[in-house]
Amino acid sequence: MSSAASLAQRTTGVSETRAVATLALFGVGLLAGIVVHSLTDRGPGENPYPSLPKVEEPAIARDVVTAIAADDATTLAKLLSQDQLNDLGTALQPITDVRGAKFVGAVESEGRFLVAYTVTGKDDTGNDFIVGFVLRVSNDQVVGVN
Amino acid sequence: MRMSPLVTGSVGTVLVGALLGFLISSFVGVIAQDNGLLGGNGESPVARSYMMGLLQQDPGLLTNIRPTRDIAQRALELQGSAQSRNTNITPLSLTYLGGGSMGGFSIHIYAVGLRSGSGVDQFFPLALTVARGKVIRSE
Repeated sequence: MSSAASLAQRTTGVSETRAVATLALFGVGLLAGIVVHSLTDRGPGENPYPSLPKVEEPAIARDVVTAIAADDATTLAKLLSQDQLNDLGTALQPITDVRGAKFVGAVESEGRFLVAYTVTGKDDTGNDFIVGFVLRVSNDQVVGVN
Repeated sequence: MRMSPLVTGSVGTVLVGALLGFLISSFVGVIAQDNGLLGGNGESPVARSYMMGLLQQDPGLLTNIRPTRDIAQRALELQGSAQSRNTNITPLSLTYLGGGSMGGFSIHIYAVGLRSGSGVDQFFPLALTVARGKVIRSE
């Protein structure tokens, strides 16, 4: 083997070793960053108050949200009072074109249910928005909208 | 003392990797938190701090997590919190119902149980909109 070929082979070997070492060091750094983040990210603090257990979505609330998601004003008019519809309009602002509604959770206290939803949609200018609203349900009736 | 290029290059590589690892895990953490993945319920620390400030009637806790307000608004807020401290409420429960996110906005909905000074129990919801680490809407 000529000296030039030997030198080229050695140079290639060194380059490969160096590339592997660089990648390994980068991987070590990446792992260290993830570990540091997991140690410093504490998440939400502890809740010092009792939490109520989650309950199933009441049927009447599901009917209301199905009507909202389906853009079915006729059904919605039958399910909610005028005041409740006004409150719903306020809660949905600035969304004018509903694209989806999702049940996120419900709790019950002494027969009073709070049923929470998120709604996604677009405002007048076509911008995407997300809002949250809550139906108050009691005795299988919607008694309020927040 | 001069360090060899090999050492500085190695340290630089590790530091760049660490920074990238931190950023990636922050990004993944936010997505996981917003979507309730990895056992989390999606609750935002900012939203929780806001609720603590409200229930403990502590405007100091709320200052850093609200958008900057003018001096008149801040004074009004302090007046309101002084008045509400006199009403003596007792928090009974605080339940995170859930939430969702879109773009830079996230929604966090809570159910709050309170007993007023006159002994009347109240049970009401609160929906918070969080953007850029601040609670920009509460209703």
